[in-house]
Parts: sequence; C-alpha cells; structure tokens
Amino acid sequence: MNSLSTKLLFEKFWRWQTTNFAYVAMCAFMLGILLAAALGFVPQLLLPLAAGVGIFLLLSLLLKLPELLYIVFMLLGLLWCGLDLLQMESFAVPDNEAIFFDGKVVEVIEHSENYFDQLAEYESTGYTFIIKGRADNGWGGRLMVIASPVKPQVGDELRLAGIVREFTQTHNFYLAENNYLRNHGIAAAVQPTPDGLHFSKLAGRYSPQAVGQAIRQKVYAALEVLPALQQALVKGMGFGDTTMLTGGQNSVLQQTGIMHIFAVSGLHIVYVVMLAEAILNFIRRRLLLDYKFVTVGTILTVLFFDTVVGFSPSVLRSTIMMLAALLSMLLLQKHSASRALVVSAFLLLLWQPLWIFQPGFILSFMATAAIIYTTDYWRVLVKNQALAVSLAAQFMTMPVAAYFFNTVSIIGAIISLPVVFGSGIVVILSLLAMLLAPFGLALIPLAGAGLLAEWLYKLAELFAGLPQSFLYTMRPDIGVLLLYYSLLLAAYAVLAQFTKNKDTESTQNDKQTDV
Amino acid sequence: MPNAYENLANKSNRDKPTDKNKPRLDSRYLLAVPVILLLCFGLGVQYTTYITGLQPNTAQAVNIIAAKDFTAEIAEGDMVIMLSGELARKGYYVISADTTLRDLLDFAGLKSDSDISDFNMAHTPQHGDQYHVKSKANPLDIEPWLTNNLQPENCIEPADELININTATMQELQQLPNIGEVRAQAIIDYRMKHNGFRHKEEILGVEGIGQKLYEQLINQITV
Repeated sequence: MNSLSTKLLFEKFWRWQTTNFAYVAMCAFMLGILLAAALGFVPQLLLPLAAGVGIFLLLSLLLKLPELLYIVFMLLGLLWCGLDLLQMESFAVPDNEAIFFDGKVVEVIEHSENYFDQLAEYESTGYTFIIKGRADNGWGGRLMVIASPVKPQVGDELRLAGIVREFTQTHNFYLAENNYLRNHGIAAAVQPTPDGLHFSKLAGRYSPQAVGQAIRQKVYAALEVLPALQQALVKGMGFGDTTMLTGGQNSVLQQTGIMHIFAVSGLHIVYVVMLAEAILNFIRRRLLLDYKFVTVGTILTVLFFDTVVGFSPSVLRSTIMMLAALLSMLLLQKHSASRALVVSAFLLLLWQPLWIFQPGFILSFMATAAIIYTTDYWRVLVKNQALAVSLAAQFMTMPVAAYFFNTVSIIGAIISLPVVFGSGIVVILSLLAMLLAPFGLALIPLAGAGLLAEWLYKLAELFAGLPQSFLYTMRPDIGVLLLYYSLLLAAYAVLAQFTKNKDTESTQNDKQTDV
Repeated sequence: MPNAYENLANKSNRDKPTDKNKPRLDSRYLLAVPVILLLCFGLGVQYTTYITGLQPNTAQAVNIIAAKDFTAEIAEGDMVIMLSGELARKGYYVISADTTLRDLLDFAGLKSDSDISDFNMAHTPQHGDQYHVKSKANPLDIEPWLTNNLQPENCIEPADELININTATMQELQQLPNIGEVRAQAIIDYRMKHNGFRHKEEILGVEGIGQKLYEQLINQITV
C-alpha cells in the first residue's frame, strides 16, 4: 500500500509529510477544530466520531499506514472543539433567573467601569471579570461577571450568587470585538446579587501574575497625569489595552489598517528580548557567566512580561514562537519559524478551541504566516523589506478585517510603515516605564511615549481623511473569501515561478562568468 | 580457509531473519499513539463535565416540590413554605429540613428586579414561613401588608448590630473581630482615598484584610 501511494500524484508531498509527520498531524487536528467551528456541532455526532477515531486508529495499526492517523487527529479536533461548543450551548439557566456558581477567576477585564454601563436598568458601576467553574445544577464552563462591586485578582476562587443577564442585549454597548462572549467561550453574563460574592480562596499576593499586574497598575497610575488620548494610546500600544479608546478613535485605527499595533505581539516580544539580552549580557560579562545565563534569563523575562500584559492569543503566539527560537539556541538545534508557528497554533487551540472564532487569534496567525511564507514574493515587486512585510500581512488579512470590522483600508500598507516604526519607540519607552515603575520614575519615559503616540494618531487621522483611503464593505460571504484567497494563491504561484526562473538565470550567468 | 560445510552453515545463517530485518513499528506511532490516548483522556474528562451539566440536580429536585397550600400532605420532617413577589415560580413548596433559603430561591428563580438585599440566604426556612421578594422597580410594594406581612423577621439581619464602615470611628471599628488600631486606620485610610465604600465587599481591598478575616467581618459590617 505504501509503495502504491508513493506512486501517486502527490509523491513529493508524500515524502515531505513523512519527515514532517508531527506538524501535519497538528494541522489535521486544527482542521478538525476549524470544521467544527465553521459547520457547527450536534450531540448526535459524538458517538460516530468517537467510533471513527477507534476504527481509523486500528486500521492504521493493522495496515501499518501511519498516514491514516491524520484522519484520527482530524476527528479528534472535531470532537475537541465540538464538545466545547456543546458544553457552552448547554447552559440552560434562563435570563433574569438566579445561578449559584463556584469557580476561579481566569480573566479580569481592565476597565474601571464595566461594559454594561449603558444599560440604565443594570448597575451603572462595577468591574467585569470571567470566571470558570461549575454551577449548582452541574453545568461547567465560563461565565462573565458584570457590575461586580469587587475587583478580584486572577486566580481568586469564589462562590457567586447572581442573576443571568440577557445575552442579546450585549450589542447595545461597545465591545472591542464582535461576538465577544462567544469568542471567549462564555455562556452567559451574570450580575452578582447584593452580597453575592463570597471568596473561598485568594490568589497569592506575591505570585508572578500579581507582581506583573501591580507593575502594570503603577504604570497606569503614572499615566494619569497625561491627557486622555495619550493615556489611551500608550495603554494600547504598550499593553494591548484598548478599553480607553473611544468608538471614533477605534474607527480611525481600523480605517487606516493600523489596529494591529494595539495588540501586544512579536514586535513587543522582540524588544523585550533585546532589552533583556542587553542587560543580561552586561551582567554576564561582569560576572564571567555562561551564555546560557543570558538565554534562560531572557526566557524568564519574556514570561514575566506576559504576566504584565496579560495572556491574549497574540501574546501567547509570539511568546511560544520566541521561546522556540531561544530554546533551539540553548539546545543548539536548528530553528524553523514556520514549525514554531504551527506548534503555537496547535497549543493555543488545544487550550482554548473556541479562540478559532476570535478575530485577534485569526489576524495574528494569518499575518505571521503571511510574513513567514509570502514576504519573499513581495520582494520581487518592491525592494524595501519593511514595505514587503507590510504588504504581505495586509493582503493576507484584508478579507478577515472586512469580515469582522466591515472596513477595508486602502492605505494600510503605506501608513503602517511610519506608524509601526513610531510605535516601536513607544513600546520601548513603555518597557522602560515598566522597569522604572517600582522606583516611581515611570512618568519620565511615558511623557515622551504619550507625545509620540499622539503624533502617530494624528498622522493616522490625516491619512484616514484622504479620499478613498478606506472602504466600508458588507461582510464578505464564503464564496468571496475563497475567490480572493484562490486569486492570491495564484498570484503567489506566478511570483514563485518568476523567482525560480530568475534564480536559474542568475545561476547560469554565474556559471558562464566562471567559465 | 572455510570448507564447503562451513560455507553452507554461514549461508543458512545469513538467510535467517535477524532482529534488524524484522518488521518493526513505525517510529511515528511511538509519537502519535500516546498523544492520541492523551487527547482521548482529555475528551473523556470534557465529556463527563458536559454530561454532568445536562443532568437535573436530583438532590434539589427531591428536596423541593410544589404543593397546593399549607394543608398539603407531607412526610415527617418536611415542611411547607410559601413564596410570593418578584419570582419566576412563586407558590407553595414542600422542602426538607436542610433546605436553605438560597436553594429555595434558586429553585423558584429570581428575576432581574428581585430585591433580596434583606434576605439571609443561609437561613433554613421553617414550616409555615412565608417569604415575599420585593421588586426593585416598585419600591411601594404593598403586597406584604395585603398578605399578612409575609416578610419573615427571622430572615432580616439585625441592622443595629452592624457597623457601618463608612461612618464608624476608629474605636467602633476596633470592636470588630481581629481589627486592631493598625487595621482600623487602614480601613479609614481606604475610605478616605476611595471616597467611601460603595459595597461592603470592598473591604477586601484594604491592606491587611485577607480572606479569613473577610469571612469573619462580612456579616458584621454594612455600608
């Protein structure tokens, strides 16, 4: 059977997948998750899919055909996401009825006033956080607690008595992303009754996460003397916190296609690594330590930085990719960015399958994949590396932005260049502010960061005002998306052929010159 | 030089299957099968959680059943109580002795306007108790008076024993358990810095007040 299959049309792929088995298996698992997310899931599928897993596993072992395991992994991916969807949708407490819930705080939304303040009938003040645990009726999952009188810390365990709020009313207020609750795998929004929060265990006051959050709060406190716009921009660029941005400011950023600088990503992690390596190398030289000291120290610094900015999908993606690079240095192994990208996507979806719905997750991975795989093709058309990177990312993510934000930025690739450069400086200044925050000196770098961030925003505003700088679009349907990506793929295939011909010609020329 | 017999013996040895020639399991299985088994285990855990959530809470369903009125026939140890007001399912219920008011209100279903601020949720109702849940939207709710003042007195916290942490003096705060001069000062500092406490749970934010102390204080303070 093996010999037969190798004679097939995909012989090259067949050989390639043998050496990349683990990565193809991960991709098959993620394909399963994608299918479950796109097509939906019903309980009736559980048994056939589970049987399918067993049958294909046995067939694979009996026929000694490891390739059949890809089907097993795909079916497991379907089940993995499907069960999460079923669990979320099985929440059965009706709106306006009570729920008693024991759980652990998994995320605190950084906003002094909750998202629900526009609804007069609800409490107008309070904090918002996400809790994961189990209800009295046995249901397990994640709930969003709104209008809480107390702001807990991540890791606090508590018992909650609350009222389930109407899910459909969440469109009344601004949320950073569409379908926020579903994207985060949250089954319902719950408002605690008076005296409805009883803490059973508090998170460690000196845990890395608590220290990280304390530093962040110190930087935020130092920011308070700056104008509101500067505060909002520095919080966004430095910490990925967009809660202070107004609806109008968000629109400007989406129209100019630079919203990506408001997500903590590879840019931040690279600067953290550079800063950490500079400091640790200085110490290493002084104390004559091994080079491993710098690598291990840098890894720990990156992990600590994550606790300061929070564990969003883009933060985790760039952290895993950076850790893969640093560990390969430490273990003297070859590093591959594309493999690290697959591993990070697999790990994140294993942890949170419903992130597959989240625009932040999709945009982060698509942009990075575009930069890794397609920048070289753009270099055929444009000489400038930065512009090629920007074009590669923008063209790959444009339909996704249109799908989620109904906006297509025409000038995004151009405006991104100065803004990304400038935001890099803001990020460096924010990192310095984090270092200086414990000494009460955070305002020194933050003042400059605020001013620069405001200039960058004004520049974006100027570009957004140009005629035809952006288009409002309808949500593209699946046919349009497929057509766009087919055309893009065809264009890359042409460019690949062109690059190959060019390389062959230059090799021949070199040979002739040598002769 | 080996003779013909030795040559034959060597040849027959070569034809014998050695360990190296034996077909062995592909190395990919060594990686994939444990991962698949782990994923199956994870799915099993997830499935159990999902299935548990679908089951009705049998313990509670047995403890609380609807009744026609106070004269309904009940088993020994059971009791009948009445719920009225801002609830999804009001009426008479037969409950067992260990059912708390929290269980009962959970079963009856609170609404968005249900005002339960005066209820002690841990209270165990007694036979013949009548509870009226007021509506926040209708502060002039006169139903309790019409139905013989259904608000049970034993469910209301005695307000005069509570210490208001927004107005209490240093000395009054020190009457609370485990609150000395330092913690009392911390509470006063906190309320000055934050323009008072909006909710009594906010006391958890005061320096030096941890989980255990919070549990001791929460039923003795008010705002």
